[in-house]
Amino acid sequence: MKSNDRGISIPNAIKKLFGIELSQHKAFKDLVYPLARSKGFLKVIKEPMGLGSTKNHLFINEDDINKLYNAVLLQGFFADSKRVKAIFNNEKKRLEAAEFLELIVSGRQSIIGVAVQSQRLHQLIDKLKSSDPALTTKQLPNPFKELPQLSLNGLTSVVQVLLAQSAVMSEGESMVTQFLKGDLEKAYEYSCQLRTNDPYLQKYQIQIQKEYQEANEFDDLLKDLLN
Amino acid sequence: MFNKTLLFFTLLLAIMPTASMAKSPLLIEGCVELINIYKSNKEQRLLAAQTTSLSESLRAGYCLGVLDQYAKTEYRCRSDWFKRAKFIANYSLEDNPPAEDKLLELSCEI
Repeated sequence: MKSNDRGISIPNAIKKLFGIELSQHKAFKDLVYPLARSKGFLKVIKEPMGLGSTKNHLFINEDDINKLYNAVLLQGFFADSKRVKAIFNNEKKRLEAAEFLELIVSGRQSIIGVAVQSQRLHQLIDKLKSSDPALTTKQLPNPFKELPQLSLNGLTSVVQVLLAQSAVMSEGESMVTQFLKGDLEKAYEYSCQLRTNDPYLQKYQIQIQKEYQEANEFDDLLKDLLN
Repeated sequence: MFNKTLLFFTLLLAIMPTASMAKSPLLIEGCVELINIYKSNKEQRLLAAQTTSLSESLRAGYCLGVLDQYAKTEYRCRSDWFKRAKFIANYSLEDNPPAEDKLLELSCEI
């Protein structure tokens, strides 16, 4: 573990905190560095790379290593680093984030591709809700079996996965809900917009369109017969 | 035990058709369904199909067909089909409704 009195390098910090080689995960690296470069968020020491380079090596003050840990964890949920930083600085944003996790994430049975341990997630939510969560000094409970930043293809946070997932689910869910409520007209509209490979939803889609056509034919027939 | 259950169901099945036939004649039942379909059709688009079963719609078709045919053969029948269907449907609550011919005749006099 290379660290010196100036602090600890970012790859070393990530290795120490999560046991991950940052150099092997480009997408993850692209998320972590902005946290360190962001002004005033972490205490960093810059050291010129030397040999005429204008770039600096970044070292993080050891006092802030748990803050980095927490920021990376929260990035697993909220990719946006601005939002993550706001959780540290702004109590309202922190409570908002806790509420989001409670409502959207903890109620789910699964988030595709992300294993979340619900007990730890609840501990994390409780911490965020508490009046003094000590976000900058103490490590939050880690609910991930593996950081989503590493395991998701292209998508780097739980929020992004949920958004991608809900775009498909919401249309399918709306279609089925309207159908079961008896609103064939609305169910049919949703069924026309839905593009899905889910065999369960496809069956509903076919059934709804068939019933809609039959109902339409029936209406036409009644119009001829009853007037 | 099994035999008893079987016997019970056999009896039940034997009674059921007579029970529904005794309830009221096909024409009256049919006109009841026809009025129901007419109402739901007016109430909301697509609703008639969703609230009508296959047998209900066949019954309704029977009523409509009989009314239509009767009006063609009886020059005295001037009331429209809806009034006549409603008139006949009202007999569904009576224990001893008139026979079909009589019902049709009466319905034309309203």
